[in-house]
Amino acid sequence: MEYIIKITQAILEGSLVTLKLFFTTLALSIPLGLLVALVRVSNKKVVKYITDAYIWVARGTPLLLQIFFVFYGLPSFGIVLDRFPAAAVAFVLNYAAYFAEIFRAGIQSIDKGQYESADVLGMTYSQTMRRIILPQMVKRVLPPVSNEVITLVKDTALVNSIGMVDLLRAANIAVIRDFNILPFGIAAVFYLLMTLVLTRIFGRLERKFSLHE
Amino acid sequence: MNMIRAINIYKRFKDLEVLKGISLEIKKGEVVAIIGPSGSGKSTLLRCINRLEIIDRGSIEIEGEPMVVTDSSGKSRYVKESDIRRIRKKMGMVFQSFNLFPHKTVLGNIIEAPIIVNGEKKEDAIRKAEKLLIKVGLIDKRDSYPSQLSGGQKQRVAIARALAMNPDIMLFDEPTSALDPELTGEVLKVMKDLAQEHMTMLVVTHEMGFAREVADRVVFMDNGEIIEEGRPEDIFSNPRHARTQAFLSQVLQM
Repeated sequence: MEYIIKITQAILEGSLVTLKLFFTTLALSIPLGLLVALVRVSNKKVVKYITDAYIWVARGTPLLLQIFFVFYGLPSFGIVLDRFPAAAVAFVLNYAAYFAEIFRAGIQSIDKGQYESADVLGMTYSQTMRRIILPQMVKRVLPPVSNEVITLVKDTALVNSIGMVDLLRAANIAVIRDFNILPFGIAAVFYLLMTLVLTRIFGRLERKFSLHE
Repeated sequence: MNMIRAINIYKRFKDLEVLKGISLEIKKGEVVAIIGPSGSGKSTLLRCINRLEIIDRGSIEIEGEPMVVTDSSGKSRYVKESDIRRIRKKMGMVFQSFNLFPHKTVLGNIIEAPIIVNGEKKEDAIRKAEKLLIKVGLIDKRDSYPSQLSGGQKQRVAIARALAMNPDIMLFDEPTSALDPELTGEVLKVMKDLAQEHMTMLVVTHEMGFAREVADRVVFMDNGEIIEEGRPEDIFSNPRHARTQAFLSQVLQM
């Protein structure tokens, strides 16, 4: 029992790193993704090519490779980042690309009549987006966003590769040291608890937004 | 003064010429019904007047103010965006498919534009919205969402929403075409009330009864052209043009 408490504590410390990365990524990648999506639906040629290329690279290469590139690769261009900032940069850029595509699809799924009625009521493009289109988009993108957010919880384990001691690494250290796989079980419980909480939160959000249907 | 003055409007979608030199003038307080077979360009004309579609040639004036003019080379040129926005606010529009905002209540739909576009105070906007809801007979649905309303109720909310912007002109694009037959009456009644208050109205419709009874003038369009126009009693009982006769005998038979 005392052993379980001891390694749980160690894993708890590791999960602080996991949670910090998780929240940092969410807080930055969702606004960035929304920005990219808005740019992409605005039909401006040049920015469209740039964001196309960004999304292609961000979704077309492994996240692990992107983490390596930011941490090991950028120093050769004179940009040296510490482990956590390096991981955060890679995660934010990667996840923003996925969110951007989800938001773009959500925006484009809104009926053309919504733009037209806002238009004839005299609303500007930005008023239409803020007041009419985006609130309806949020409801439609909740299921895919919830998928991404749950994937993000588990993807954070990739920071092991640049030597950060996250939840999984903390468990792994205990497993190797004590020759006992119990810490992996505890780590699994931690991941499951986090995803359970998120599933509940998104379930509640979906219910809240479906009120007017 | 002419409320709407559209001169020689041409509009094409890719290879399809939809409007072939349409001219139409509407006086203050006049109710004009546009009838004609589907594909005749009547909805497109209405959408051009409101700049939901950009015209290729021609000019449009609203209450004497040019919105789009033809320059010396014969091409149409729109005035600047801020002027267009101001001119368009004189016109309210009602769509066939209602286009209410599904995430807002009935009241929320009506007060949205007065508050964020016109900068009205929320209390004032609510007071006006409630008056309009009483007028269209839906004050008890004040806090419902569009999904909880019937088609006829949705369209009446859409009319109230357009009226909340205090337009001088109301454009109706087949306002009853998406409704079950037993629901068209309630919408037509609201429109009839508006006509009696001398609202200037341009109505694209398949409701011949409405056109005959309420309109001051009926315009028959076919194949992108105005074939014939006149007082409803003349058009309906004594159509001069063969195409008008053919169309009317078809729709009135039913």
